Amino acid sequence: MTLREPTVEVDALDAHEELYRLGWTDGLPVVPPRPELVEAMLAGGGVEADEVVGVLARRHRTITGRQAAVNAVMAGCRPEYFPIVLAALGALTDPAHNADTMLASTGGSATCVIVSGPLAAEVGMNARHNALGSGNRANATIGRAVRLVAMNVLGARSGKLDAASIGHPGRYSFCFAEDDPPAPWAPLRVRLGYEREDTTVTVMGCEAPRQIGNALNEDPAGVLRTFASAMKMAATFSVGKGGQGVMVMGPEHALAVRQAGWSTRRALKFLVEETRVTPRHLEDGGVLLEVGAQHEMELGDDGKLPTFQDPEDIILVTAGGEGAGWSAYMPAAAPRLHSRHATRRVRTPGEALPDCGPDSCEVTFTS
Amino acid sequence: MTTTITVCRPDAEEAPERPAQRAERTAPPGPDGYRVALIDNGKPQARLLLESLAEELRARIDVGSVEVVSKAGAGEPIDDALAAEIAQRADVAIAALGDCGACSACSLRDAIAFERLDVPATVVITDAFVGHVGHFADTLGMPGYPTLVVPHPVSSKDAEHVRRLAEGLADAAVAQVTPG
Repeated sequence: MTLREPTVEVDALDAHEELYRLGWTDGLPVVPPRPELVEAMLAGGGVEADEVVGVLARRHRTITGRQAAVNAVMAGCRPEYFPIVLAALGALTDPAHNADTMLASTGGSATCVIVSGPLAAEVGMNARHNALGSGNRANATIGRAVRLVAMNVLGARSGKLDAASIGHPGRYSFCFAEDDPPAPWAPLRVRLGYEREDTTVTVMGCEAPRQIGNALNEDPAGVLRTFASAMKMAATFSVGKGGQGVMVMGPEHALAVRQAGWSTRRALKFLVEETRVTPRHLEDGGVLLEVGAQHEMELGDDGKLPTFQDPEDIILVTAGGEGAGWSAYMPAAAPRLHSRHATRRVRTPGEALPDCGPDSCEVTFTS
Repeated sequence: MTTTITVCRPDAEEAPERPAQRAERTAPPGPDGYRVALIDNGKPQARLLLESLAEELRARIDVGSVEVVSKAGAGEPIDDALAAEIAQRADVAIAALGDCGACSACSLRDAIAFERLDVPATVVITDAFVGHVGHFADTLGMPGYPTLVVPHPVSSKDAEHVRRLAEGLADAAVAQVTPG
């Protein structure tokens, strides 16, 4: 194989147009990835250009530090965001997430990127008003960098390896930060088993957000039933088949549930039960049950089918600003059989590799 | 005068899997005829389509046995160890049903996995995914890999319709998995 020139020359005054014509953008203008900017990005992430930061074996693709950095520059990231982008790419390529399927599916999901931990605030991410909206550079460009890597490095483009039928606007960028909840609730990273001082990135291949409004009901079960009504919509592909989802609790809804003494665990178990559906519920929505196919739609003892099999299938995260009572819900675009959420801890530049002890890591290379 | 700037490429060097030829198409190796493995991905009507196709093959070529192998899910290719095990006892493999983006890519992988194990194979996809599967065939090292194509959709069709589809595919299937 002949190695291709890693750079190209473009007209300085027409760079956006040329980069678009080369097929490297998402349609919006990008920052021209000049070598010095790429070097600065790599330094921000503390990775080498040829370091492998993700592997998608089924496509025979690896993501190198350099490719990640070039796309992060194009997305508009500042170098200090890059460790978060790298963690997101690690989670994206976690085999449990099955990016090969999620990036190829007609379902047309977008990679929802959830950042939990102190680094989010340090780099200026938004976890409050308009957390899922526009206007914050870190949220916008970290999510965009992940999508550009999927497109440019992993081949996720219509007419190439992406068969998305409809897609959704989150494919430009779909990233936000957690607003750590007050005690006794623990933030997402702690509930996932990490330390409070860690920063983690969780990804899920999601359909578009459904905004959830309920400004009148302060009863915890009532608030959660409003979520459940959105979670079990027959139109959502995974309902009745056992899926996953991201539940973004706005301040009023989280307060109502927390102040009533409910733990996050109790809330999630309640939702798993409340979102079980009867065949009639699906049929009323025009959805037919699969018979003798890959999704075993066998009724439980209660005569119902699961929207979620376990509380762990729901990522509960607190974010958003005070208002009347708004939250959001994003279902995963495929049943859990095909894809699961995945999490990586952010490694900061210069962080030493873990000490493996005296009996390991002793490898002698011979040439 | 035009001023240029240098920019870094953001895309990946094309690095397809080691290119390979399809397995050699041969006469049945044993006296009992072809041993056919059907790789069912669990999509609605996939199994019926495959079993109907196997019946049509019986009328056209010497079929000794038919084995249906069900995958855990359509969004995963067949497990390597399972494919190797089946390759020991199959002379021909047919995968189905590629009627969505992820499952068509994975069923194509199933067929190509058998080709690489020296078992002639093919895959049934719906017409909506011909181009998509073509790109994946490039990536998987078998550009131009022949497929069996039926009109999309199949999942909503009744049994009689699915059997007619199988009948329509049978001659092409024979041509694709035997010396002809």
